[in-house]
Amino acid sequence: MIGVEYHAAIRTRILAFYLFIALLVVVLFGGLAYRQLFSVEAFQERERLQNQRRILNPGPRGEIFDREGRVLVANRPRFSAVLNFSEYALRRELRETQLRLVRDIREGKIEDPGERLDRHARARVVEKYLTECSRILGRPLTIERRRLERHFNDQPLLPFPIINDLSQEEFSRLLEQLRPGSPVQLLPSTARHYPYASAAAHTLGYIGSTDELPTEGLEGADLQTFIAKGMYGRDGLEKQFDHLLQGQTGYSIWVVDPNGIQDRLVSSQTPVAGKPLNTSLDIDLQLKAEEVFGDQSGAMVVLDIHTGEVLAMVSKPDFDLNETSPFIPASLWNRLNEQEALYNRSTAGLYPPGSTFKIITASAGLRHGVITPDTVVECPGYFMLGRFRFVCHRRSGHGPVRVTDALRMSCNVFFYETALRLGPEKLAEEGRLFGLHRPTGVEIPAEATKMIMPDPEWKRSVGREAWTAGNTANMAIGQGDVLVTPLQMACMIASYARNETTTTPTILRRDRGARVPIRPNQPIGLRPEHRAAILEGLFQCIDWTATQHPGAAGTGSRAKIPGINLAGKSGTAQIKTLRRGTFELAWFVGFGPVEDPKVAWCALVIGDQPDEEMGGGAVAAPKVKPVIELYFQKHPPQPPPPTSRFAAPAAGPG
Amino acid sequence: MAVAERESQLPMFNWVQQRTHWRIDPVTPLCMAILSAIGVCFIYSAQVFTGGNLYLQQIGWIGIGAVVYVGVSLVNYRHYLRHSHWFMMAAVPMLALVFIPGIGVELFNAQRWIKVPGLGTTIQPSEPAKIAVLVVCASILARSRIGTLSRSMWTLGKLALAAGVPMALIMAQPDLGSALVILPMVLALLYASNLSHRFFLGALAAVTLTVGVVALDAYYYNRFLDENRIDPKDSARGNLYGSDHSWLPYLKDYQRNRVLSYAMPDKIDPRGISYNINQTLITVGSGGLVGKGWTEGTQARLGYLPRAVAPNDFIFSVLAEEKGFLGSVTVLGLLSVILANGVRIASLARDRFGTLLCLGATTLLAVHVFVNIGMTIGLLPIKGLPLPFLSHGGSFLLSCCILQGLVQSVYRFRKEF
Repeated sequence: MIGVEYHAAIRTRILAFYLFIALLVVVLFGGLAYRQLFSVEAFQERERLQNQRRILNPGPRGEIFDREGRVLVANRPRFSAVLNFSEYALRRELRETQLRLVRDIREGKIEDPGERLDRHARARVVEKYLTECSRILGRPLTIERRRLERHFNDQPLLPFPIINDLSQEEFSRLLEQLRPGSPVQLLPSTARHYPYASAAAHTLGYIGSTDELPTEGLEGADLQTFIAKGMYGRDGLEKQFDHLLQGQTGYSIWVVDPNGIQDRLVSSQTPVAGKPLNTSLDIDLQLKAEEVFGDQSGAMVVLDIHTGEVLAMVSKPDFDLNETSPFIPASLWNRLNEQEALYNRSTAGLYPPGSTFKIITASAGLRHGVITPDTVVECPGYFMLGRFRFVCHRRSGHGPVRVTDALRMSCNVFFYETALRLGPEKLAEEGRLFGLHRPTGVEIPAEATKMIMPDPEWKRSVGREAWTAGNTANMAIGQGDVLVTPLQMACMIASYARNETTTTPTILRRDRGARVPIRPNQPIGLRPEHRAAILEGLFQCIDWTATQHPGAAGTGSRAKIPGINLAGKSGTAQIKTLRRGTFELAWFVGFGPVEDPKVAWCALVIGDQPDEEMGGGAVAAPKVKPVIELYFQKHPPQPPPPTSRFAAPAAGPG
Repeated sequence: MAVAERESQLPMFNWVQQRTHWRIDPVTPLCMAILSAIGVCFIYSAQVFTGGNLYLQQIGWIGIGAVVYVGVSLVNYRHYLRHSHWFMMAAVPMLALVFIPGIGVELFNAQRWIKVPGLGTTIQPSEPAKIAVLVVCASILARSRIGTLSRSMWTLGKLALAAGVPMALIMAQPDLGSALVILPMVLALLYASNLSHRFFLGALAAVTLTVGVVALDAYYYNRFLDENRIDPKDSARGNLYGSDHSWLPYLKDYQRNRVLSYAMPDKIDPRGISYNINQTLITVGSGGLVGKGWTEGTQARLGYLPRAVAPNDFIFSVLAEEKGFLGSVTVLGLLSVILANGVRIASLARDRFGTLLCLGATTLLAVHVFVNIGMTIGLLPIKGLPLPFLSHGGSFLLSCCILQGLVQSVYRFRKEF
């Protein structure tokens, strides 16, 4: 029959069917084993990269304090209203809106918007809640469509901010009036806040917002990451100590679905606030100093003589730091650039020191023996160098003057004579001894580096004509090519007060009361009677008033504080600017009390009008007085020891 | 004719003979039941996040399938030998209905479904068509003697017509995958009918040649894209290569892209077809040895494995992710038991029709299993073929039950003479 012979014939072919099925199964088995047993790690890694996302949140920035623990830079809460599209309710609403749109379009109730419906639905939902907030706040609110799209393209995991900077009042209004269960969330974040507004604006510096957060050591570096904006220091201490102030970034790693909607938290770490910064500033002095300057351009530095701490640092014009937070509006930016208000004149401004440099000239003259404390020079009111006439500022002349008188009355002729006897090299060397040729190294960014302590060698190196005796004469009174910063002059006078050569200023608070020796350092090396002659001159400069010493008064007598012996030196110079003409500079440097030096200062007033007549004693000294007065109110000096007016030099065991 | 006479004496149902010939093969129905239960579990799991009720639907279909299975296995398969043309008469018009607006349902740019009036459900007429082609071809071959190629030409011609018309209709839907499963089945029937080896060598040569030509074409196409820096999608839009560069003008660039998407998935369409390939690979691969646990598969739950296909074409991925290698191998084992059992029953059958029915049904099943699992583990290109007994879908489940019912019927009625 068919069946029998047929089956005999196809027996081998049936076998082939078995083999064929076995082959298929073996192939599938092998494939499964290969995928699931031998490449499992690779696929699990691919899955992790595909469905995990990381969100970075910046740590709150550290606060900045003054030396007495008062907050100079704080964080204020800042509220924004956000829509979090990861929330289930909002997702559902979004889906329903989209479905309704589809239905309405199909039924012809509305026109096809001509764009992707999910986007259209999203815009509608945002619009709806924006309108609700707008009604509560009573002000119009708009959101650019582009911003919305960008947010959802770039950072779908982050909540979408619909109102960014809510005032406190608006915040509470929204809190009260948003209906319960509204998906509009009020999200706190922080912005920098400056309780003293413009105080020490340049020193403290301002911040900018950034996407680059420190992520070192954080898990999930290989994951796609979304970053909430953080802050970084753009200037001043905020910039200098950014690494300390910057908090530790927190993160959360989420498993997300293909639309980027959060599903499950894998791991997280809360952000940690940055470290607080204790500055050496005394906000009382700072405020007083800024108050006396008013709108006047200029700079002022007040130093603690023994520690080098900067107690106050003024740079005018300045600006209200609060206007820079959370971001600097373009109008403010333009205005600040216009006024050149952004740079710190105390550390970055280079100016000729004028007569304050005479301290260096006197010091060099005495050191090299070209003058002694008893050397007398006759001042007729001018000095002839060849056929050039160099004038003294008192046209009628000072008569016969010694070094002490010359410093008191700021007699140019005496110092012309001294410098010419000395030669420019030794004068420049004395300036370099006090570090006037190099930056002080204070912890403030963008300190000037191009200060000039000129000598013939320098002049050759910059390719100008040969050094002349006239250059030496000009240099003697701090004119010509000498350029220094107010901070450098403050350090110079502080060093002089300690009878040392170097003061390294710091903006950080030293441990209270500790008198940290400032290293590296060396004694000035002047004979005590020579140093006494100079200090006497500086003391008389402030102490000799016109009523007590008619015709021989000190130039700085307007800074005199009854009961406290101060030493100082005024100066006047000019700067020529290309744009705005010539400006007067009024200087006043000094320290006190002379018996036990504690505080040193340097004030520089810059004329606001071209060719304004300003003398250091007349303009700068009165600005110093209230500040120093306040200092001594806060730190009353010990009654002066009866024996000697000038303390034994600190470095004088030998 | 002796065969025809005996057929005419057969009662429609074998109620009387039941007692004397009451035997059933328990292996296949047992495996089917287990696999169906596993299927329901993972259809549930695939939808657990979005909360669908496809698993309930599937339970309903399984119930109907069980009834159909029992029903078919109660009927003596030999009745179909005589009435096989009715199968074709029913299947071809159904395939044609797909194209009639109002009855045919268009989904995903293909007309694969027809509405069933009153039931509110749709069926896929390509499924009954497969059965019809099987029965018709088996009956043609059972009635004819097949020998050398030249002597079998008339039979081969009839076969070509019986298989070709439904295939053409299915391809026109277009559903290339379903059409192509018919081909191996017909070849298997021919092979089991002792057709000369020369035919199969010829067929093999033809397939090899076709694959070779297409591969070469794809190679040149790829070089063309690289040299002219053309994006494959742009090329498909304007048929740039096909229109004036190719020596295979009937192939369109979008089809070339499909070929390429198998060879180099990332190049063609990272978010399209190859997105599915990548996702199914990650899904299967990340399962590891024991899997992530039932309903814990992140790929399926979060929707990286596309939600639309996870419960049906990619149900094996869901299983492989959640139950790992052990689970996959278990299912593969159960399926291969059904396949081997089908071949065994084919060899037990005492007539050619029974043997052919069993081998045809088993081949159909094998092709589905191989193509589906092969695609989920990246051995084969993505083709919309479901996995028997596990994938969600009523038409396909019923068609599998009918096919296995035929096999059971062959087992039960094999010792008729």
